Amino acid sequence: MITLDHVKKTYRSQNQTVEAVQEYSEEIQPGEFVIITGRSGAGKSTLLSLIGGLIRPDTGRVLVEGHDLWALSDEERSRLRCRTMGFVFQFASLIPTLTVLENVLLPTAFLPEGEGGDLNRALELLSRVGLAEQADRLPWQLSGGQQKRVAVARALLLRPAVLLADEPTADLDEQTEAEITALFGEVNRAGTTVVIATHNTDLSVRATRHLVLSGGLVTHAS
Amino acid sequence: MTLPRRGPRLLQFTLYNLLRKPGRSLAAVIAVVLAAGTAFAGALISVGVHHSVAVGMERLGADLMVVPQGTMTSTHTALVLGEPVAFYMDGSTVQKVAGVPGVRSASPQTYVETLSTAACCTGRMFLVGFDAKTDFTVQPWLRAVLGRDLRDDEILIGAHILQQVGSTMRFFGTEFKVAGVLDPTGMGMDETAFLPASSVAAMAENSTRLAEKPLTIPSGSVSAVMVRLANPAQAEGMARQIEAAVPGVSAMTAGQVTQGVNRDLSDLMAWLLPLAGGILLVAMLLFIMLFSAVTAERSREIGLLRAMGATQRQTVTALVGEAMLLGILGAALGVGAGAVVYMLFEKPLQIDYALPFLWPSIVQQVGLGLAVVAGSALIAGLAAALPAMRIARLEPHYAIHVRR
Repeated sequence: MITLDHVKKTYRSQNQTVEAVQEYSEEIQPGEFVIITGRSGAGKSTLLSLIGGLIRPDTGRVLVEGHDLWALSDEERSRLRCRTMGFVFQFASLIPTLTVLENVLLPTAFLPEGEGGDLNRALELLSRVGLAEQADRLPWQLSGGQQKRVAVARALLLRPAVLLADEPTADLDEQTEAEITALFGEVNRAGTTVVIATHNTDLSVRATRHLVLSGGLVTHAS
Repeated sequence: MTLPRRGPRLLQFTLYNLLRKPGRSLAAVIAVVLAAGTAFAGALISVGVHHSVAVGMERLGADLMVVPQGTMTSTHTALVLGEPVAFYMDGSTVQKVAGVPGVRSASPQTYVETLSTAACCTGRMFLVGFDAKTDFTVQPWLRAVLGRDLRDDEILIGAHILQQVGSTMRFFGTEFKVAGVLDPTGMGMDETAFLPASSVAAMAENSTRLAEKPLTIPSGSVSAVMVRLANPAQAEGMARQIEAAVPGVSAMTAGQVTQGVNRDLSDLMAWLLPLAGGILLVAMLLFIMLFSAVTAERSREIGLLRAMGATQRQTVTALVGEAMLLGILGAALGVGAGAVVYMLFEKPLQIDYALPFLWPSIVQQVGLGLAVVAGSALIAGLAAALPAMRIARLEPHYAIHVRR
């Protein structure tokens, strides 16, 4: 279970203060499919980063599987992130110097030897996203859509309990978008909690919950 | 398709980064090659010179060397570079020196400068005639290696004289057979030929008949007296005592020879050290700038790694490891390049700065090379550590979304 307990995040620059997420509490149950929508700058990415422990809230707590993320050491928080969360980002998020297969296997580099996903799992995921034949290619040899599919495969390698995706279908053609959306649905049916920040309201048909953000405030939840 | 058996480990990850970004890696490697090459060449010169002096002075076997007053500089040059000299003093000096309390033994030497262009001589060379009865410089080597004394028509040569055992050399019309080649010292002895003083006297006598220009050595004279002391630790004091007891001589200690060499070495190091320091500084700055730029450029990538579960420590380890690998690679190439450049300029450097040089043993050379490699890896790691720590401490969200 993910708990946001009165979290708040404000960005401050020299002459500007932006309340990216106003004080907010929420509980996301295991196996939920949550989508977060809102206009650009509404605070979707920040909320997702708060859930994933990628950014520290100014106030409040974030609990994942009972652990207060910011009460943990960097080592413990990183391990928890590695073992329980998978991330898909909007941009091409592959490491340019690693092959497709190495990119998918990368999360295992941060776990003790012998822990985590293996080669068969990586190949199975690449096959699932239709890229098994591209395994030894470098990212620049793939299209944007293909790179996004590789990133999804990587996020799923360690069978995360939570999948967090930031605009995963942006800039994709219709067919790829449908494939990735279907894959998220499949992963969710298998028990993974899915939280997606998106402009794409079509995803709401799959969602168990739909949060709408505006100016850092959740204005609507259904 | 070649498949890995499992995911890349951190070290592999850094290796791939280096190998698959060759342009970036090359710039860093070149900086390290220059710095490490200069450092290695400088260290090699320093170690080689000191090694040479140590070996040379041990071979000389004397605590003091007594020469005519005013000839110390040329004696130093002869000892260090083998530059021929010829000066003489009265033979009674030997007894006078031997009679100074504290002197354990004294042995005379006679110096001859051979002719360079005359048909009577193999070439311009420094000949040293030693007293077979009292000598302690050449005789120990003779006994150990040859197992006998030199015959009247035999000669011993230094390691740099291009003759083989059994070949003949002609000086002032007299032929000598090469009986042995001394082990190298890097000092003047390598350019020097040794023969019994009695042979020198005979050669001088025969030269009036056989040579175009006769060899003139004042009767009963000697060039230098090699001295062994009862207490070598008192060499400086004994030198002053001998100079006081025997008028017209200068006494040079082994320490003075070493000091002289150190002075010449300092002249070389006076420009080599600032050069090496400057290159090192520029290389370090380049490294810091390069890694600051690289980490800034890769902030999103580093943020991604952190999001995937890399700890701050793992992130710093990967980035610093990358820098250290570049440092090791660059330094290894630099050590090789430094050695090659030194080999190319070995002779001119020795002559210009009057420096003896003996290549250190392989173990010492490897040790020196490893020290330079380790030092370069450490400096490269330190240079990369600051930007690496700064980026690793950044919250992943900022690294991914904000800092470009």
